[in-house]
Amino acid sequence: MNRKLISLGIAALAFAPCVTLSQDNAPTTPASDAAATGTVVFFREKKMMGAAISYKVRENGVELCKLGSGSFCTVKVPVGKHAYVTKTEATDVLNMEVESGETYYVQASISMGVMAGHSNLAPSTKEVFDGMKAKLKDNTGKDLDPPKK
Amino acid sequence: MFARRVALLISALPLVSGAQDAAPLITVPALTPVAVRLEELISSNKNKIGDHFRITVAEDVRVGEALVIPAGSAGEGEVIHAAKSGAGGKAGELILAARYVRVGDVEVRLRSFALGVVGKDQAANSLAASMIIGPFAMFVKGGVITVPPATLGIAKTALEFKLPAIVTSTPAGQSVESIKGEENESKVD
Repeated sequence: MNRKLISLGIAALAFAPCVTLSQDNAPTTPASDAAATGTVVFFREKKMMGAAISYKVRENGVELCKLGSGSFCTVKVPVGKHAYVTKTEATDVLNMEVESGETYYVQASISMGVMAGHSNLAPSTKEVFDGMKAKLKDNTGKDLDPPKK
Repeated sequence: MFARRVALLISALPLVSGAQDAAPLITVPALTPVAVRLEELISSNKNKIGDHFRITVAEDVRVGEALVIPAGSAGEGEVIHAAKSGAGGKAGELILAARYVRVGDVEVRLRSFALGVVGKDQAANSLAASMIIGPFAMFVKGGVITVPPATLGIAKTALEFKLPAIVTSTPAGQSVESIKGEENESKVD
């Protein structure tokens, strides 16, 4: 019995490096975990055209930001895919994939429509946002309705 | 009989351990920059969300002196967002992501894909990208957006990987040797 155990132990020792080797190629440090977040900055330039119209950015029915002319919101969101929706006369959807620790800029605008104009969300850059930030009002977390139950 | 078996197993031990020495594993830190080349045309007019496209590594990725991801390694990207230009001056929109490149049997996951000016930082002798368009590869333009093949961008490794150092041949018939990589000490911002 003892001999069998010793043989088994030595055999296990002999093959241990093989097991380690096959595991070594696997990724070891996840760059993001479930609690990781990124930041999305929604902003809308101050303009005369469509100034009377403000609209909300929603995801799955949850209001994230109300954008009037010349305003912005900073929203922390979980890592992963997102679909941000605005609705005036027409509905616009911007699909994004947020990665941990990154900041994304989304420019909102309004174009000609029959009644209320067409809202639009488009990917943008820090440079564009920084260029107009001084003229924008921070509307983060303001004028939002709680999620409907 | 038992003694013979024990002796046989013990003599086999160094052989198994020696297998590790043949291909030293190099730690590739998360967020290591990887220059990427698009291998096909992407258009906001034709491509749809979820479309996959071919990418290749544009430049060798080294950790210290060790080559870990050779130029030409193939991988895949994905269209995250595509919107056609429309009436009322709505611009075309395109967001792309680099998903992975394959090195041997290992799928090296990528993140933070940005298409833009990719150059060589001579001081650090490492890749640096002018992130003129933010942390994702995106385009907004009135009209159809077309990203031609061979467009360069830069992504980062999403995770820390251990990859075998690639064996490189030395010029003029010299012997071929494995690169004995040290643990990576380089810092990525």
